[in-house]
Amino acid sequence: MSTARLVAPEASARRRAVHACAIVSTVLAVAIAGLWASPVALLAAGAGAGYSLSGSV
Amino acid sequence: MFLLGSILGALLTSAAIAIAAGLLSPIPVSIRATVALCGLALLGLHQARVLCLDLPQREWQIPQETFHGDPRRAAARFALRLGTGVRTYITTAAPYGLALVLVLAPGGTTASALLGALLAAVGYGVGRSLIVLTQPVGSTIAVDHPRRWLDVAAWVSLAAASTVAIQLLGSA
Repeated sequence: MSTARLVAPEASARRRAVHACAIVSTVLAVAIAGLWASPVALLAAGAGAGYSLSGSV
Repeated sequence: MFLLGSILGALLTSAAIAIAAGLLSPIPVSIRATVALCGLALLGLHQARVLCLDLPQREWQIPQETFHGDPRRAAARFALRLGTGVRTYITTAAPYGLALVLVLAPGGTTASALLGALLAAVGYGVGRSLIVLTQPVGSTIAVDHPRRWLDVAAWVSLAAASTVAIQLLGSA
């Protein structure tokens, strides 16, 4: 138990860092793709907007 | 049926938005793109919970009567209402950003504006149906996905919408 408690915060911080990197790289990838072609950006904007409302009825 | 209904609903809304965009087309592109970017910045602050904007939305759920009758038709009816985006709660800023870009920063020509509205509607319909389409993959029935995934999707959408406005501003 004590080992788990010692390891957990580190693992949690690493997980948060990976999560933040994933978000930033995804947003950057979409932004670059969008600058390359508006239709791609609009498709991504639509899909993101639609999915972001999941669970909302 | 669900996917088709959702896309059809989104197409109805995007058609209405395309008409509004046509009415605003006499305004110079640079002004429209700048206003769109400012609006997107405000929506970004709202999404980040720095600002709390009172965004318009229908504040009640889809009625139970929608689910009566044949299950396939009921699913299509429900999806159609979900797809329009104007019959449900709107819990993120992303749909507003998408609408803002489609109204203020459509493509330079009528054909590109219509193509953009079509693609955005198809994307919205697919995105709205994703939770239903992914049900067979999961081991349990999920009516909601983790909040952070939905937040990421909203940010991706806002970023993508911003690139469209930036691109239009650059071409003006």
